[in-house]
Amino acid sequence: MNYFYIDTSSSYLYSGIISNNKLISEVKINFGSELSKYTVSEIQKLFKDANISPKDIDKIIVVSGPGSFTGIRIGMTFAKIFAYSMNKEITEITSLDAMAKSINSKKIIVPLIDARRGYVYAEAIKNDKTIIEPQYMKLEDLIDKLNNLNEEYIFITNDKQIKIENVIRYNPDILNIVLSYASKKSINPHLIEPTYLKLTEAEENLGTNNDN
Amino acid sequence: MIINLNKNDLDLIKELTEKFPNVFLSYSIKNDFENNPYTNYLIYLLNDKVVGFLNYYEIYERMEIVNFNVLDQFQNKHIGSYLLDELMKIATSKKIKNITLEVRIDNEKAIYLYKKYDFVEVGIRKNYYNGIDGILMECEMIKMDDIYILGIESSCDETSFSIVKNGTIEISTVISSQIDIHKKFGGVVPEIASRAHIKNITYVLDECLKKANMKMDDITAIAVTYGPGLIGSLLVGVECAKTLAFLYNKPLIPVHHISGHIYANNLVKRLEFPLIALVISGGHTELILMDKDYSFKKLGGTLDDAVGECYDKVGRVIGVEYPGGPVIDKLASLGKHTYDLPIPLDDDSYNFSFSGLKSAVINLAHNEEQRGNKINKENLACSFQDVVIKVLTKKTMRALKEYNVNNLILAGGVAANHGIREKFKELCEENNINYTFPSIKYSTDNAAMIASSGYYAYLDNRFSDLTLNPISSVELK
Repeated sequence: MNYFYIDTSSSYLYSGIISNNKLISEVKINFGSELSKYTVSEIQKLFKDANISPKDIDKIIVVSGPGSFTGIRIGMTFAKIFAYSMNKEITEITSLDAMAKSINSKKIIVPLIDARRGYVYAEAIKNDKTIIEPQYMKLEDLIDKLNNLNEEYIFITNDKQIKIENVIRYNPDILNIVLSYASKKSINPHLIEPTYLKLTEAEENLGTNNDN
Repeated sequence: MIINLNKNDLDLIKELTEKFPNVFLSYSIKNDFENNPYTNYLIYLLNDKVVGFLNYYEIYERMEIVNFNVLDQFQNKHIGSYLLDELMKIATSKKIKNITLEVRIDNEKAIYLYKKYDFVEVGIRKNYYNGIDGILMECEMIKMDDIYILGIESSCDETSFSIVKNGTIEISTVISSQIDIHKKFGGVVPEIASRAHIKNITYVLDECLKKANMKMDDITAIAVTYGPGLIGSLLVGVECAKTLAFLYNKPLIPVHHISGHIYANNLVKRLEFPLIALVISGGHTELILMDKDYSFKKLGGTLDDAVGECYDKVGRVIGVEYPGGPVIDKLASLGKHTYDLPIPLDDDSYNFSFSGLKSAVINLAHNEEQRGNKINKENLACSFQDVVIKVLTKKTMRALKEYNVNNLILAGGVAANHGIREKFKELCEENNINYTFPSIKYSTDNAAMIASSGYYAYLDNRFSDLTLNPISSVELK
């Protein structure tokens, strides 16, 4: 089986090709604001390095978010079009799940993404069980919740600007992520959608106005 | 079955000669083989008996049909077609450039058959057949291949795919409009537009390919709007185009949105140059001069609001639903020009300004309200539209005169406005100007116009690599 993995939910391009349970090529580059510019050309290189054609891929695993709205749509567009046009199997996972699969710890693992203005996207996982569902929340509320659990926890994040302790820097273990979710049920590519976890401001305001 | 006659197959030569005595009265097949290295005979055998033949010369890169006969009792059994099919197959495999033949002018049946195989009349041979004229016909085998461009448009609130053949023939277009989603916000919300684009994108592509009954492999190149527009919206289309270009190894063509609007007219009628294009939409108001395909010279543009934007804002003042343009157009046709509004930027330049006009309408409505007077919507719409038409026509007609240009095209969403269309029609008739405007379906954003424009960019080798990036604001060059 050949798997293609893509995550553009931050300013990084994380992508890899797994063949017969081995990682045969990967890319992990921070493109900052130029992620949309380089994603497709880097993936072209990735396939060249792996000496494999897109036709040979059996299944696509795409990270659907949460994270940068624009970022998510880059990888998501690629994955959707790839799966639809070449008739490939596709499944989605969240960026938080991908983070959790990149460290080994007996503690509660808390993947964390900065959502600005004191908010984060986060979840909490212990021994593969979800303790706090993925959500958009205030960082201080999250820390309160975690402290109430009275267990040791560890954050994993890529956002240096968040002021927290007990933190591990995120470096995706693409092989482990893919193997963990390889058998996850495939979805019709038309129906794959980003996981934003947050309404747009316009929708939020509309909701408030209606409430009044 | 069809065989190619071997010169040593004397039995078959004898049979052929006997079956068609009139043809072989004057010459023998044996002699023909000995003296003419170019000659070939395709023989149609039915139950091992000769029922028809096609004698042709193959002279390097060309062929000539010399004799073509089917026995009377075997006519209307498509034997002639089978023989021609075989000849075409041989010609294609040998990369023959053209096939010629002569046929009696009164042999309508044969002429009809040849025409079915793309033979065209190229000359008359007087008295070629003992007092009867012969027609010289030719079939060109090597033609320029058809170019199919897949166009992608997602610059604002429409997700659209289209396939256009050779720049002018629309094969299929699918447009998914988000207008109902944005209505409740009173205008396009960029993040919501981006979200809708990615939700729709594969559905729209799928429908477009199915409507055309084509596969991605049948597409020659992919053209996509790279700007100007909403950056998040553009991004979905551009990523989609790059992904397809990578997966199917197709050339990628970046298309400027305004160029698309101009080429929307090319789907109505092939553009004639030089021309002046007045592009009017929710995001643009520009006068552009073109000497030939893909040569754009901007004569002027709006310094602030686009004309369509101004319509929407005035719509809000009058109290009509977004988008205001079509409603104002309709109201205007029912009203009279009773309100006094200033003509904005009434100068010697080819630039426009609509924010002053917008403010004037807002102030007028406000003042009337304060005086306790009720605004007459129809009359305000009419007064406003009159001023817009005046400034657009004045500068456009002056540009046509100054640059000595005879062709005017209207482009963009506001080109669907009746009042504007009709006034230009009237003025162009008066001044002997060829005037084209796109049909309503090509006025608003669509991918057919992007595919049409993309075709001429393709001919001009304007390709991009896979690092193409959307740009929210970019000049047409």
